[in-house]
Formats: sequence, C-alpha cells, structure tokens
Amino acid sequence: MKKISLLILVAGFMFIGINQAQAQKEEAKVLLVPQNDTETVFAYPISVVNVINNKCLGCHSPSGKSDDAKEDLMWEKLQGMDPADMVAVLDEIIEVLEEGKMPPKKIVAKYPHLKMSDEETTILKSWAEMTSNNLMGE
Amino acid sequence: MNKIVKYIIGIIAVVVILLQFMGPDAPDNRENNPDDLLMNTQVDAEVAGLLRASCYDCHSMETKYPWYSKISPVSGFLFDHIEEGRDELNFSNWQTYEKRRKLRKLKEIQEEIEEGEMPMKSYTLVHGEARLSDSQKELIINWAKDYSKKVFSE
Ligand code: HEC
Repeated sequence: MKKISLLILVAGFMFIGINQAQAQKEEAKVLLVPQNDTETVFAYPISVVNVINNKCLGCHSPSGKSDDAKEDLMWEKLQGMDPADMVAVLDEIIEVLEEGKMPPKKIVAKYPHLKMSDEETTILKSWAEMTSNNLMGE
Repeated sequence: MNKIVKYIIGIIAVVVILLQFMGPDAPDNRENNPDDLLMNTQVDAEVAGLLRASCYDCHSMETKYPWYSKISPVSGFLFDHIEEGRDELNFSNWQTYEKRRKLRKLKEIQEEIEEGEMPMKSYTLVHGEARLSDSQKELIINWAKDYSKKVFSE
C-alpha cells in the first residue's frame, strides 16, 4: 500500500516536472516518461529535469547524433532498468559530474551554453546520490 | 651495405639504447592488499583463478611484469595500460569502493567480457594463458551477476 501511494506520488511529480519543462523549453524533447508499472520508478524533480533537458538530452536521447553517447546513456531508459543496473548508471553519472567530464570539453568549446554551472552540477549530483541511496535502501 | 642504411641502423640502435635509460618507471606494486576482492569475498576458486590469470596484471596492485616490460618503448605502452587499468578497476582496492561503485564495476565486467573487450587483445596476443574460452567467459559473467545481486541486497 505504501509502495503504491509512493508510486502515485512519484508519477505525479514526474508528470508535473515534465509538463513544466516542456512549457519552459518547447524545442527540447522530453523523454522522461513515467512508467507506473515498474517498481523502479523514481522522481525527477523539476530542477533536475531542467538540467537534464538543457545539458544532456541533446546527445543522450534517441534523437542524438552520437551512437557512442546513446550507447553509454539514455536517460529515458534509466527507469525501466533493474535497480542494481540503475545504481550502476547513477554511479557513472556521479563520477562524470565529479570529474567534470560532461558535456565533453570539445562540445562546450563549440557551444558554450552547454557548460554545466556549479549549481547544475550540484543539483544533478545530489539527486543521483539520493536516488542511488534510495534504490539501495540506504 | 649502403652507407646510408648503416647510418640509419646505427642511429636507431643509439636511440633504442638511450631509451633504455630514459624509459618511464613501472607502476609500483603493493605487497599487502587487505582490501582485495579475493581476500574479502568468497569467490569460486575457478573464477578467482581466471581473474588472477586474465585481469590482475592490469587491474590490481600485483602486476607480474614480463621480461619485455624492461624494454623501452614497449614498456611505455604497457605501463600506460596498467595505470589506466588500475584507475578504471582495481581489485586490490575492492573493499574501498562504495556499494554503488561495486555494482557498476560488476556490470562493466560483464559487458567488457561479453563484448570481448577484456582482457585486452594486445595482452592476450603475448599472454596466451590469459585468453578466455567461451565457457570461462560465462563463468566470470555468471559470478559477476550473482555477486552483484549479493552486493545489492547487502
Ligand atoms: C593489458 C592490461 C589489461 C588486462 C589484462 C585487462 N584489462 Fe581491463 N582495462 C585495461 C585498460 C587499459 C582499461 C581502460 C581503458 C578501456 O576501457 O579500454 C580497462 C578497463 C576495464 C574496465 C572498465 C571499462 C569501462 O566500462 O569503462 C573493466 C570493467 C575491465 N577493464 C575489466 C577487465 C577484466 C574483467 C579483465 C580480465 C578478464 C581485464 N579487464 C583485463 C587493461 C586491461
């Protein structure tokens, strides 16, 4: 029962988050679709959706041009995954953020607006840490 | 023999000899590894043997340096691989990894072996004993899967 109400809450959050993000940035393709039928749904707060939208989805979504980028991470696929696999992906996201590796330097040099601000890094990283801890029941 | 050819061979010989004195230092090994994977977890003896034979030279602090590791410039490539390999995955430091990092490394191990990326081809070319048969690959992959479930539920 607790799980179900949590799911609904989470799905609700995501729905709001996605709608807001869509309203803010029409051209972005928002792919963080809630999946109510899995246990592995988690919340993307609006602030996180915005960062992902603005800084990641250009490459890490089906419309991205780089196959490497798509193979390494597809945000929309994250939630359908097995929880242990999800934690593995989140760990990589955390490492990449800690090391400032994404978006790649080359891309940022060409498109300076894609540079992660410290605030954005913190938002995404704390969310990834929190989510991974939740998934591991910690 | 043509004079020019002789000169060239001479110059190459001198450069190679000089390189022997200027080559990079081998990454250090460490004698005591209390955080080693195999010291801390019950790993099936066969799997443990495979990891040691096929991975530990690059992914642990117990590298067995082959004779050619003394020869520059080959040693340079080798040392880079070892440094990079340890940086990505170091079985000697296993217990220091956070739970989520363990889960990730176990997943990567499955992927790398499935895709035939690891052990590195340039390594198995010389180290025939490190080559993995299909059934050996399966053993490691199944171990990583099972162990990952265990780590997750810990
Ligand atoms: C000759 C040295 C060498 C050997 C032997 C070797 N590796 Fe690696 N390994 C590397 C290097 C170098 C990297 C980093 C560059 C790369 O990913 O190709 C790496 C990276 C990895 C990664 C991280 C890949 C990623 O997704 O980023 C894993 C996992 C891995 N190795 C597992 C193994 C396993 C398992 C074995 C044994 C079956 C093994 N390696 C044997 C050198 C080696």
